[in-house]
Amino acid sequence: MNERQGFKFFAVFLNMAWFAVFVLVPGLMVVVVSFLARATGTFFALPFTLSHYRELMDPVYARVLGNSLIYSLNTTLLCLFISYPFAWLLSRAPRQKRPLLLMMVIIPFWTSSLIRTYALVILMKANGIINTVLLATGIISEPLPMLYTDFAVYVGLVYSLLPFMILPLYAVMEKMDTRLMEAARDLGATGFQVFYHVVLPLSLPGIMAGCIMVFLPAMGLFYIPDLLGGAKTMLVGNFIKNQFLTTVNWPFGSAASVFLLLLMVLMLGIYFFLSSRFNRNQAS
Amino acid sequence: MTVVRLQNVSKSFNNQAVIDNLCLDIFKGEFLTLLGPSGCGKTTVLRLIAGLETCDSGTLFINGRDQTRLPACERDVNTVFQSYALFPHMNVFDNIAFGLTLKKIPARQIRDRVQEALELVKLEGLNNRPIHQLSGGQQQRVAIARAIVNRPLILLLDEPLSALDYKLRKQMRLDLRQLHRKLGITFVFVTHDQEEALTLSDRVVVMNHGRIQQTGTPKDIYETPVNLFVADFVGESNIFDATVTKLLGPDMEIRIQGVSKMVENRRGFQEGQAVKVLLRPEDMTVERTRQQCPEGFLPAQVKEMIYKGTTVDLILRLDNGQQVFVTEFFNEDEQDIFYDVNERVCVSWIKGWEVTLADE
Amino acid sequence: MKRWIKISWVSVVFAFLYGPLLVLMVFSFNQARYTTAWQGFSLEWYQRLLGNQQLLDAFFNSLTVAFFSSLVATFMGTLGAFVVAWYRFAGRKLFFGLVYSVMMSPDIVMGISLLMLFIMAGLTPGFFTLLAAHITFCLPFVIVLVHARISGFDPAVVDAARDLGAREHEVFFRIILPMILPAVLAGWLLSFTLSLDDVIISFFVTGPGFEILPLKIYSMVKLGVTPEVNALCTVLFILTLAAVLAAHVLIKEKKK
Repeated sequence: MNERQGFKFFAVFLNMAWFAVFVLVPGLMVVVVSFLARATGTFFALPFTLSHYRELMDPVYARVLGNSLIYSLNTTLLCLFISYPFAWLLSRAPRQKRPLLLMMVIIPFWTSSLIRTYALVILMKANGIINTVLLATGIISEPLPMLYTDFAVYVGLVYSLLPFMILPLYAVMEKMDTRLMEAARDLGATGFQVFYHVVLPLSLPGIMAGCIMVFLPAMGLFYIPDLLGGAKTMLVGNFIKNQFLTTVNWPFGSAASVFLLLLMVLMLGIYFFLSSRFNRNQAS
Repeated sequence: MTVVRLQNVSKSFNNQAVIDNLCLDIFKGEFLTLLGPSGCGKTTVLRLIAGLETCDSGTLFINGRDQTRLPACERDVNTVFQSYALFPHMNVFDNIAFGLTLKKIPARQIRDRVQEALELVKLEGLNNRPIHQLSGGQQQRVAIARAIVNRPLILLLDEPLSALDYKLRKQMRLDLRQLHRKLGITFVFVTHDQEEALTLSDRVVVMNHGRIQQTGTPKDIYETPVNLFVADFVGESNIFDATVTKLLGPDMEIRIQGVSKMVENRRGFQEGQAVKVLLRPEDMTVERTRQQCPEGFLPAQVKEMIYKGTTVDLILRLDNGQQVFVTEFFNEDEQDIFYDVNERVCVSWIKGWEVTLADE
Repeated sequence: MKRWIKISWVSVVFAFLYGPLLVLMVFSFNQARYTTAWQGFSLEWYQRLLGNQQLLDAFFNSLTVAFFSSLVATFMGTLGAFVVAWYRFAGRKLFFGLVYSVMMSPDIVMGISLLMLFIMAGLTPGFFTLLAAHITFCLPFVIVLVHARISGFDPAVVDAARDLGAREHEVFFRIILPMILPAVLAGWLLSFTLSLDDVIISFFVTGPGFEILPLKIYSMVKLGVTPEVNALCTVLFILTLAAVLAAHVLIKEKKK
């Protein structure tokens, strides 16, 4: 018995201790530091202050945050619109083909986002593939400025995050009971009505999950604007990076990080709320 | 000769007492069944014997030695689990051989003993079959083989037949009895199915709320239950409220719903005492009434008649509203065993066939 | 007509997902250095790659970190997942809450929080800080994967093994581990991949003395690209591809 207790304790303790040291403590530090004052010489100092949070609401910075939110929102919507039909079609594909198709979505999911972004650079730069082809075929007479624009940033973000939207949607759709749709049709619903009244509500958990998995990272992927965007494009991620590495204003950067964390908590809260409502409806 | 002794054993989970100061002796070579409803503690007793749980207080003796704190892996006891718990990544042979390989028994001996076990459970030839390809009944036999191949002192079986369909269950019961006779070792069997308990066992221990209600042979348990719980749990019982009106030597007169009847006084009841009279449905006798019921008979009305082939079951309603269950054996010569619904009848029993208990 | 649209939509999305990567791979074999015109097949850049000591060092560093962090994360995570699944213990919900919150956390927040931790603790960012960070974000994946597989099995097999005479470590190595091995290996492979490809967190917790590949590529792309980068990316991609395929095969086994 003692052996068993010891083993159990060891296994749990190991993991909990690791999380405590490398997740909880740093997390707490971020929160605490966000309330401290900026200092020269050291990274932060007393007294406790809310000044950084107020600074975040200063129009200059608020605009950065706001823009970042817009980028994330648009990216999320774009991903959603592209992925939804795609995931649906995938889930309705013949059973034997599904594993292969799923594999093909998963591979980019696991491939380094940086490499994929670099590939976009090759495509989009002034003497890149796209321009070369378009010039060669005479469709355009001058190279299109694609790189270092908002357009490129969007392409980069969507390109990186698309699988994160596809997979949760697919997971939900695959399990969807086709008999519900048949029942709806039997009761006289048209294709669109079946979609609106049956498919859409049932896929809601997947949509929520996908949105969380796209929206939050979209705010933090700083290397995309860095590589693909113009001088003006800045995500919260870039902002935080600057505060920590360039301006060395840790408290301010922490405040922005707390902002991100709160967003995450908010989104998870909505997700759990919606899915518990959803489950209650399913159960009844 | 006692092979297992539980002495004042108690066990709690989450501050709830699951077993309360339990004492039990299990004899060598017997087939003992622990019978009771869910949550009565019977599985916990089994796990205590197996060593998978440790009691909070009390002592456990196996073969005379105190093994209360001995871990399961060192006890000479093996279990057949309710879910079979076969190792999914091993085939039939490896599953059965597992206990032997742990003991580092030479390969040839292992092969022979596994073969022996397979024959005992009638699964020869399935050595290399992966577990997931077996049917429920086959998996169950592998679970049994895996336990008995180790030639344990005691074989514990935790509701092993509950997942099988009815026909298979009946067959397995016979197989288990044969196995017990062949092996000659002690079987401790846990079930909530009283029919199973009565069919298989040498002795039955009826449990409820962590306490032993009665220990005895199937006949004892069925015919002379010591309390209401046992009477009610094992088989069907009609329970009548009555008062003792007169003592007459070994018998006594009781008043049951305004009717007087003579019954045996086996427990030394006193005049005026409130008692409960228990009667099995097959012990009741029913007569058609003319107008008044004869002495000792209770007036009733037929509510349901269920023809069951070998028997006819009747549900009667007494004047005070109580339901009485009667089972009459169908004798083809006797035509008048068919009653009409709402027909008025008279019901009684033969003196001595009743069980009288104090009103608790 | 409808079928046409369906196939097109799916194809276009796949083309979008894979196009750039394929272009990258194709051009790693392109003779040309500056233009994007095809000038013939060549392995020159791969050869140059082999000669580029800096890049190779960074590659080797990345592999080392990936190897050790995935190993530790797999070991810890497997034990943790196993105990959480089958042993009774308080704080289960807390444990899973932590696991999922790490998985969901934005990389950037993890990155800066770990940076703060290391600097406040007086540690120089380098191999060990990187290792610790990688183990941290790989751990939840292993736990979730292994836990999912264990949950599918009957916990009574632990009792059965004990009943038949197995001691605690025998229970784990002879019964549990073989049962969960596919998930453990998949977790290991995926951790390896995650570690190899990580950019954001590594950005904050590594030091100048220890270069890793994704960051090297990052700086190269920003400053000016030599075509070796194409070759390098291709190699990385193939590695990741192999690991993911292998993991996929292992996870599929559980569906049997």
